[in-house]
Amino acid sequence: MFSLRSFLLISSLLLVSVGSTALAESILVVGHVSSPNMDKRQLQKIFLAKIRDLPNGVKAELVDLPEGDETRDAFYQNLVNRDDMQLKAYWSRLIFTGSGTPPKVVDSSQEVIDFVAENPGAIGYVNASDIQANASVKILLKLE
Amino acid sequence: MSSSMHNIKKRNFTLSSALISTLLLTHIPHGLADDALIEQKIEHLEKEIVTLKSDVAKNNRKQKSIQTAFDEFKERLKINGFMSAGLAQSNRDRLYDGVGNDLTTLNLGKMGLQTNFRINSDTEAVVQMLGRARNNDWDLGAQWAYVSHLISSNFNIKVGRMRLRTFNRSADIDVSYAYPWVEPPNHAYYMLPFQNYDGIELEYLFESADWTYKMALYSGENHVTPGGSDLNNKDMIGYDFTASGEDLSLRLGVGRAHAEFAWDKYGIDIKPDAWFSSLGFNYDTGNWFITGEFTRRDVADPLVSDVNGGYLSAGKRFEHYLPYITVSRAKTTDNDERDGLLAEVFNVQETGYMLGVRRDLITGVAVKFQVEYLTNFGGSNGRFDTEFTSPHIDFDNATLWSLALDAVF
Repeated sequence: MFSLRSFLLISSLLLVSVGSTALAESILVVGHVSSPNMDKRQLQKIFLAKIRDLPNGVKAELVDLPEGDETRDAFYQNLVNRDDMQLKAYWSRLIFTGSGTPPKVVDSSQEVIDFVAENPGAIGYVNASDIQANASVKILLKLE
Repeated sequence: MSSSMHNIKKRNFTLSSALISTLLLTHIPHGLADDALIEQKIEHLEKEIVTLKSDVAKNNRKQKSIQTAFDEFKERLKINGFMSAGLAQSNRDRLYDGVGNDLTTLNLGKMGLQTNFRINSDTEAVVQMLGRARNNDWDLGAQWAYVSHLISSNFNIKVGRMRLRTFNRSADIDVSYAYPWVEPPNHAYYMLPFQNYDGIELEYLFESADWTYKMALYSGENHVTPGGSDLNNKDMIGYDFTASGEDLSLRLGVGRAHAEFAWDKYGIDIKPDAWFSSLGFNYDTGNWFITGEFTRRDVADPLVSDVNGGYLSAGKRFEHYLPYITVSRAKTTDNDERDGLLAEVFNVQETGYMLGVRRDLITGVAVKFQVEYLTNFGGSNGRFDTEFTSPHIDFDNATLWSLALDAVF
C-alpha cells in the first residue's frame, strides 16, 4: 500500500544512492605527509613511469588498486584518459623492454592508506568515502 | 531373572573382584622406594614435555621464517609472458615474408617468457626467452639476459644481452600486444634484420617544464648466421633520444656497426660499415592516435642495399575497437650499384596501403585483422621473394591479409 512513509523511505534511499555516486566520483590522490604537493602533469609523468622520483628526490613507490576496480578505472580515466586495456598495452612495452615495472597492487583503499603511511615515497589513489584519515598521509590532489 | 540366578551372579562378582584385588595387590609394588620410582618417571616425562614444547616452538619459528623468506622471494621474482598466434594469406603464390596464397599459420606465432629478479632496490636481473615459429619449425633463444643497476635515480646501466633499440619499436617488436597493428609496418622495419646485441647500455632520464626526456647510449656486438652465412657485427654503437609531452612524443635513433659478412657458398666476404637511423613521432590522446616514422639503412657495399623506409598510421577508438589505417613505403636508393640477379633481389620499391582493426577482448588479450594492398613496385620485385627460375614478378599489385591473436600474462 502506498503511504507517506514508504514515499519518504524510497526518496531518502534515492537521495543516498545519488549521494554515494557523487562521492564515488571523488578520487583522492594521496601521498606521505612528507611529500611535496604535485600537479596533475607531474602525477601523469610519475604514474606512467616517465620519471622515477618525486620532486623532492625521493624514489616514487606507486600503489594501484586491482584491475577492474571502479576507483582505479576512474583514476586513470581522469589522470591520463586511458582504460585498463590501454594501460596493459602501455605497461607491456615497458616490462618486456626492461624500462619499468607497474605499481604494486593492494586490495582496498584502506590498504592504500596503510601503505602510504609507511613509505615516504608512496603515492596512491583512494575513493574519498572508503577511508579513515591517517596523520601520516596527506591529500596531494583531488580528481573530480 | 530368578532370585537364585541373581544370587549366583552376585556371589561370582564378589569372588572375582576379590581374586582380582589379590592379584593386583600382589603385583603392584608398594612402599616408599616404589613411590620414588613413580616420582622419577613423572619428572622425566615432565622434562620431555618441556623439550618437546621448545622443539615445537622452534619449528614454528623456523616455519615462520621460511614463510617470510618465501614471501620476500615472491616479491623479488616476477614472471611475465607474451604470445602471438596468427594466420596470413596473400593472393599471389610468390612468397612475401613467407606468406603465399596458401593459408600460412606459423610465421606470426611466438611465445616469450621473462623473469625479473630484484637483487636489491636498485639492481635487477632479467632473462627473456623467446620461441619463434620459423619455416614450420620453432626457434628458441634468449632475447634479453642482463643485469640492470640504477646508478642514480636518473641513470640506469644494463650489461648483458639486450635487444637493439635503433628504430621506434625495435625493442618491443615481438610484443605484439603492445602496439595496434599485427606487426610494425614492415616497409620501415625489414631493413634491420638482427635483433640482439651483447654489450652495455646507459640510459638517462630527465625532465624540463612539462616534458620528460630519455637518452640512451649503447654499445656491443652480435653474431648471427642467416641461412648459412656468417654475419659478425662488431663495434656496434647506438644512440637514441626521446622527448615526451602529454600526448606527443618525438624520437631520434641512430646506430652504426662494423659489419663482417661472409658467405662461402657465394664467395662473399665483405667488411662494410652499416648505419641505421630513425626519426619518428607518436601522438596519442587516448581516443585517437597518429604515428609516423622514417627509417634508413646505409651500407657501404653494393651487396647490401641502402634503403629508405617509412610509415604513417592513424586510428580511433570506439569502445574496445581500434580501427586504423596505415600507409607505408620502402625504396632502395643505391640501385645503380647493382645489376642482373643482384638487382632483382636487392632493389626494392613498394608502397602498402593498409586497413585494419584491433579488438581488445579482455584486458591482456587482443585480436587484430588487417588487409594490405601492395603496389608501386617501380619495376622491382617489391619485397617478394626472388625465384631463380623466373626472377621477375608478373603482377603489379597484391593483397595480403592477416589475423592475429596477441596476449600478455
